[in-house]
Amino acid sequence: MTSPPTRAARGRTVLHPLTVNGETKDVPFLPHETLLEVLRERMGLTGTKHGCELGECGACTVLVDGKPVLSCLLLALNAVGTKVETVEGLAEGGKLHPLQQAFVELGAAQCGYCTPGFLMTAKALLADRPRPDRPCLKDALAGNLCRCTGYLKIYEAVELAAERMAREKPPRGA
Amino acid sequence: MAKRKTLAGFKGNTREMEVEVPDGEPEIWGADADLRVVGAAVPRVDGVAKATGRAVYTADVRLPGMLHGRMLRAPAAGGTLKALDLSAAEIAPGVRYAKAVVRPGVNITHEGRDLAFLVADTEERLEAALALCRVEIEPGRAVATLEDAAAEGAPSVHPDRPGNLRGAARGSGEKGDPAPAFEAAEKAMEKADLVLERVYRTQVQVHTPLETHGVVVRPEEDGSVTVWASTQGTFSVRDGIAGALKLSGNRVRVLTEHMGGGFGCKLGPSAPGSGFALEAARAAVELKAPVRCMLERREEHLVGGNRPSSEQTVRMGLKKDGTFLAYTARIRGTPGFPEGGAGAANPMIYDLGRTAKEEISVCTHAGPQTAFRAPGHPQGAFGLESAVDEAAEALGIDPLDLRTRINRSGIRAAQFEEGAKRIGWREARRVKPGEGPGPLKRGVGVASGTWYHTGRARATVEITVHRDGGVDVRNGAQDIGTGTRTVMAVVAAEVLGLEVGDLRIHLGDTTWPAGPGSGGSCTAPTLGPAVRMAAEEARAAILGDRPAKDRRAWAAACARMEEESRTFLGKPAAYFDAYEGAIAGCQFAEVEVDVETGVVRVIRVVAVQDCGRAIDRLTAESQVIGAVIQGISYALFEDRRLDRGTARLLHGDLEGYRIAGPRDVPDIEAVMFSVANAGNTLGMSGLGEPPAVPTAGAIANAVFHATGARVRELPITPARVLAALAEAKAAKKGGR
Ligand code: FES
Ligand code: FES
Repeated sequence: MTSPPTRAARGRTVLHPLTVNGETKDVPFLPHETLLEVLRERMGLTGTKHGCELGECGACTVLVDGKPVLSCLLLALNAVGTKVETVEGLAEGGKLHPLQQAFVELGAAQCGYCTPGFLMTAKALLADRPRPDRPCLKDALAGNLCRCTGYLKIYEAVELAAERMAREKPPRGA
Repeated sequence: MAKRKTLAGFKGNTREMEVEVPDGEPEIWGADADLRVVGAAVPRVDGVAKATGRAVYTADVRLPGMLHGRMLRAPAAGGTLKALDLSAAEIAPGVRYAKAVVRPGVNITHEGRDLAFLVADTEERLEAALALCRVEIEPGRAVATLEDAAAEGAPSVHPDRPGNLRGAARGSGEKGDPAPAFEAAEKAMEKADLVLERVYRTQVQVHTPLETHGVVVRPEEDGSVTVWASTQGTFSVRDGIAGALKLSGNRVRVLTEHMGGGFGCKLGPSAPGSGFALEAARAAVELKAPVRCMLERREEHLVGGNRPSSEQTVRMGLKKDGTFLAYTARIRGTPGFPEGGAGAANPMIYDLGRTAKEEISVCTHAGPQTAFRAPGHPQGAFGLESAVDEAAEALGIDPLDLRTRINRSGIRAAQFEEGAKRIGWREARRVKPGEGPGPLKRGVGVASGTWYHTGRARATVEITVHRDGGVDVRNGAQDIGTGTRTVMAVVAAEVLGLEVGDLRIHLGDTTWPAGPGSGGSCTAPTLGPAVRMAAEEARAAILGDRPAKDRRAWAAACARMEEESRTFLGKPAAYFDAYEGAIAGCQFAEVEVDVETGVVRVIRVVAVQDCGRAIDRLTAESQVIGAVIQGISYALFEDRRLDRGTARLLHGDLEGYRIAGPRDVPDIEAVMFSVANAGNTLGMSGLGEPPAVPTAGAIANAVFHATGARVRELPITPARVLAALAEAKAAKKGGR
């Protein structure tokens, strides 16, 4: 019996078009590489963190077509043709996103390793539900772990951002 | 030395203390100090870097030509290594380095023991090469649990020193034979109206920082090395690697700009159960190329360190009125393979009459214990606070009243009052244990903790003032996420009349003046006074008698400097006997227990924490809230399990090893209880550890109040709650 082929033996590096933070680039990668690997190793976007690579911590959360996705569990190939958003794309024109601003102001990051994942998950939540209540917020963030902060400041920051965003953009018909 | 007066204490309870302050050191900030920036809610100075993903952690470091290293680890526990054959791996594609770090015949003390270090050009080839290594182990029996390891005839974890029991046995506070203290305590118990004996057990807890242990080592042209390390001790990494490479310390530059959590497990040069960083450094030098080695999540569980388990056999004798005559604790715990370190801080803090204690470590075939946020304390507090609660229950005394009676700290007395008011203690305790309406039963519980005034590490902080008014503050130690950088900025801003954003704080580079490892909650209280001293020197030299008013006054004075820049050093020697000598804290928990399923939900925690002088209210609060959620996690979920037969890890991930997540967070009220403690010139304390102590005890006591059933083992799982309920029911029946 021969041993199974190693991962490296299973494919060739090929250029694929990836749209990340609004920019489409041809990125070389192997067919079995995860989106997390491609973002971090191939594109140098290390804002997206590697916490477990097992889909258990949420540190690697990015948005794919607006939905939060664990990038360690998604093949980069599956992201071809989608819109990927990472923490590096949150601030616009040097201006922090309201979520980032609130995280900074309220001290929602301690070591900060979980922060990008929380920010991305929260962004998707607010796009869906501009003014979530606490239970809804907890449910939405349930896949993200933080070992330092105790989560409370994170909730408060998301709520503050939600409030500010709602003020800036009054709901239609209002 | 000059004797100076300072106002110490807390609100409604201050007194003048006389303190000897060495010449050249500033006045102590007492209770009446009028401060402008200190104590405000200041956002972290590195908040933007963290919220934008720009903060670079060791895991993010990518260097040209960087290779990937990993340890080949023992796939079993127990037995001896018979053969280690790396020849297939050596010639595998991309492999650059494969070296055994042990010899055949070595004892396999634990699964995951270091065997060989491999380096390859990609992670994938590295993984493939690791699979090609042939490890042959002469199997031996392994012991995974305290009971099995302590049993007669158990296989020895260290066969050259038979038996698994290692006594760091000691009496109440003294080293040496505890027998006389136990005898005296037993004698005192003869006069007791009530003698209770109980056994409390706690589990092994894994630190689980989100960023694992890791380094990137780059050899330099001149023979020195640069190391990026995810560490709590830049200087311990420097010294470890310098030793391994036989270099002087100043030829090893360790950088830790940001790091993703440690909680005690990252104090050493590598990891508590692995020498991976030293091997990576050796490989990098030999290969003349940068080598990266980050532990995987499973390795973190195997060799990354843990909080040891404990089994605390407590005996106490009391008078009817609640006076303790004696209290003894026999403590055993499993440190894994190391031969010691599994004690528990029990008894402490209360007036318990005659006390005696022995601590025995029972070696198992498992990865090592190491410092973990208030080592020994959460487990000790769980035992002690459960025991005090049981005594109160048996005597028909309110548990808070009993504590108030045996409490020795004036700070804690005030905290008990404050916390009881906020949680609604009297109201809630009107319901007798277990007698509330079900099936979702509510209860409240209380527990306390203590910690020490640390910060005597004698660090030097360097402040450079530039002619354009810019100020750089430097120390080589690290900010592990607690906010050290921000604390330093606040102190310097206060003294110089500047705003926090005006300063640049540089931490995490061993080419800067030496600083402490982040253990014992000492980093901020070590660096804070050093920053103040350097800043006071700078202020005196640059502003002279003019007041430190604002940025303009500062810039104008700097512009008159003759030199391009001037550098000032702060190296305080002054740490004083603090007000009351120790840090006090207490926590009240409210829980809801489903008596049909046994599920416990924490509803609310009121944490009243002696925070000394909080330098930055935001980071201080964040420490307390973070500690409480870790305490909840410890109380209800976390449990590092090994297979009982093979001592192999049952889970190496965050699913089998569950930590508290967003859904598990209750309302947490962090009550910052300021105490002007006169322990250093800022009157500040470390705050990382103390609030992590009481939580589990408070929750266990609340569970008892809710259900009338006592769970004496952590974590408080549904199964244990149901078993305790059944036991309580049987006891009630038997009693009738
Ligand atoms: S790294 Fe993807 S979930 Fe942890
Ligand atoms: S801030 Fe450290 S893991 Fe969340």
